[in-house]
Formats: sequence, structure tokens, C-alpha cells
Amino acid sequence: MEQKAATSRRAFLLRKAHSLTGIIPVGVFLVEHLWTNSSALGGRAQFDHAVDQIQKLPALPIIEVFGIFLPLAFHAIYGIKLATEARPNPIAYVHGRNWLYVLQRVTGVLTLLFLCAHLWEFRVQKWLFGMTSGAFYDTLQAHLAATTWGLQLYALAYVLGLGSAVFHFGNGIVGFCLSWGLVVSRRAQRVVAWSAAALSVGLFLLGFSTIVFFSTGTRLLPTGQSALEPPCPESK
Amino acid sequence: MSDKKIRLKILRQDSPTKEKRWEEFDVEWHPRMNVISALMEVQRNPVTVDGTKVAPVVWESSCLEEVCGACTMIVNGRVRQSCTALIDQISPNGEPITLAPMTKFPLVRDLIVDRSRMFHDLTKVKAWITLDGSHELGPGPRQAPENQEEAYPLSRCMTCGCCLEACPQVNDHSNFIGPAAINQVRLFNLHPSGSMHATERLEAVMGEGGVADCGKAQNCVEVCPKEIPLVDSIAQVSRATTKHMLFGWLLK
Repeated sequence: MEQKAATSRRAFLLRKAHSLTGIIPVGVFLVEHLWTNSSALGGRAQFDHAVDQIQKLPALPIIEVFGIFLPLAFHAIYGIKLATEARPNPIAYVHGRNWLYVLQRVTGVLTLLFLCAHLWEFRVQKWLFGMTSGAFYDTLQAHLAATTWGLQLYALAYVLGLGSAVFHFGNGIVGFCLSWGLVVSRRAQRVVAWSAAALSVGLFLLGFSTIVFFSTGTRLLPTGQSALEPPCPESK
Repeated sequence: MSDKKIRLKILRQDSPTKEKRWEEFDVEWHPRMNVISALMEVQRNPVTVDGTKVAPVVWESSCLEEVCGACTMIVNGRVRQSCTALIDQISPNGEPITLAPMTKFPLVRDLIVDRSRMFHDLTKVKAWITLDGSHELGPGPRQAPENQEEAYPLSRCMTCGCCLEACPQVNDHSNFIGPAAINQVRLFNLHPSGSMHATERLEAVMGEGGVADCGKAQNCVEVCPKEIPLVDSIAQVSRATTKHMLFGWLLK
């Protein structure tokens, strides 16, 4: 009897874990990643410094594998299983939340596709083909400024990937709060939904200005540092 | 009498194994007509628009005042009770009206489906209060007015199936129990006597196809004819099950 109850609770625990991993660590990593990358707006030295600080973290490979990669892989694989079980009906039942339900699944898949390409572009190159973290800035600049058939397809793909990721994260926060029972009342649901939407928009603007900076050199956000590359505050 | 006609476009199927087909009927318009009275007209004279005499269309209905749920079907693409689907409201300018059976339940014939899974789900979550005893149990605990106010809207569920029909998570690829039964968990766990079996009800929705399968599309609350706050009920039961998952094993 005990055994039977334990096996049948599997799906429940997996759903809860899927919801949780989307926030911690994956969502937290997304925020950190966009924040670190936006340091490029303060110039190359700041970006390289930020990247360098991460490279110096103790036990970095362990953090990367167990803290980010494995939870992310679980979230992605289980998420695809969940997406295939859905039978969306937003045309018959036109409601805002129903459309968000569809978009949550679509952006999940889009984010995963973007992520695979993005990992190939940097992570795999660093692991297998000897790319150094010092080359990130130049590679980003070269890729994002590149034009194909007169269009900055790379930069557009980045904007789409960024948009998918921050939407999925923002809407996922609402889902997480409902799934874990952190919010219950209609009013609390509304407050969380609008706060998550504001966070998503903020993250999008942060990432978007970084993409625009790499692809055109224009700074959309003001930075404390001037563009004249002050030396990296490396004095310890 | 006017000679105004109403066109009904009905998705028919003689039995679960037979082919589906659309048939169209023109029926005479009457004042204050609803979908049920239009179907009665078809029953009286089951002749399609192209003049073929066919077997009468079958449907289910009982109370005719939106409290039993028997006549639930898909009217113009959206699930609702057909008794309160007034012809003048859904077809103000004589637009054709489409009727189809619900898709999330096994079909019996034409517009009749078998909703017994919902009854089965009620037994799964023990949607009742255990009172049987061989001796006098005395009066039950008193229910606070605040508790009554929260419970009353939840108690209006008539097991019609609208919420399951509109839910994208309820389908043949999942065994999600659906909003109606989860709402009953909240209702009976709120009740002073019902709460004596609260843990059993929570555990019933912590299994395969339980409350965690909710996809937050929130169609349930949009289509519920009794305006039950189903999403809040799911959130409430999610909270209770989360607490039970995290702390239940610490307590016993």
C-alpha cells in the first residue's frame, strides 16, 4: 500500500520539480546571465572583467553542471513531455490566460532551440575547440553585427530567443506561484501576474540593449562607465 | 405566426463506432425559443434541409433551468447548457446554429455523451461527508459564517462537464482529473465534518493526473455556468497538497 502510493506520486513530484527548477536555478541564472552580459554596455574592459570574475568562481564546473546544466536539461526534457500532452484550444476559447498557456509552450520550445544554438556558439566552442572566455566579446560583436542577405539575422534570432526566454520566465513565475500554492486569491494572482510581467519587460529591455549594443554599437541604457574604457578595477 | 426559420447544423453519430456527419435542419421560429425547444421541433419533424427523412436527433435534458447539467453540449463552438442558450440571443439575425456533443467524454449517440467519469472522479476524491454510524453521533460541529460564505459558491457545481471540455489539459493523452473534482476537494475539506478526511482527499489528488497537472490556461473559470472560482480552488488545493508534500512526512 505504502509502495503503491509512493509510485503514483511520481508525476506529482516531477511536476513540482519542473516548476521549481524553472525558477531556481534556471530563472535565477537567466537574470544573472542577462545582468552580466549587460556589463558590455560599460565597455569591453567591464565585460571581460565580469566574465573573468565568473571564471574565477571556485568549483565552477560543478556549479555549471549540477547547478545549471542538469536542472536545465530536466526542465527542458520534462517540459517537452508536458507540451506534447497539451491540446491547446485558443481559437474556440479566446481568453488571455488561454493564449498565455499556448505561448508558454511555444516559447519553451523556441527558448530551447535558441539555447542549443547559443550553447554551440560559445559553450561547446570553449569546451571542445579551445575558444577562450577572452574571445567572447569579439565573437559576440562579429556574430551580432553580421548581416545575411542584408538582414542582421543573428541579432534578430537573439532578440527572438531573448523574448521567448523572458516571457517563459515571467509567465512561469505566475505558474510556479499557483502550482506551489504561494498565491491563492484572485487578487494575489493579479498582483503576481503584473509584477512578473514588469520583471519580464525589464529583463527584455536589459537584454535588448545589450544585443543592440553588440550589433550596432548604440547604447540604449545609460551606464556609469564612459565609453573610453577605464581600466578594469583589478587592484586587490 | 411568422415564417421565420432557424437553421440548426448538428454533428451526428449513430454510435461510437459509426462515422460522424453534419446534418442541417430548418425549424420554425417561436418566441422565447431555446436550443432544446428547437431540438424538439427537429424531433417532431426529422427532415433535413435537402428533404431527407432521418432518424430524430437525440439529446439529454432535464431541469431546463441550468441546474442539472444534463443538456451540456457545444453550441456555436463553445461548451454550455443548451437549455439557457436562447435562440434570439445566439442567433439574433437568423444565423445558423451549430450543435455538437462534448469531445472529452465517450460518445453515446448524437448529442449524448457519457459523463460517468465525473461521477467516478467524485468517488476518487471522496466528495461526501461520512456520517454513517450505528449510534447517535450528536449534532455536528458548527460552521463559521465566513466558512459558509466561502463554501457556498463552490457547492453550486452540477458536474456538467463544461470545465473539463474547455480544459486543454484534459484530453486523451492525459489523465488529468479536471477542475470540478479538485473544487470538491476544497469544498469538503472546508467543511468542519468533511475536514476529518482532509488528508485522504489531498492524497487522492496527489497521484497520477492530480492537481499538479493543471496547466493554468484558466478556461475552466471562464466557461463555468455557475461562476465557481475554479482557479482559486485549484490554487487552494495546490497549496494544501504542497504543504502536505513538504511537511506531511515530518508530522507522522
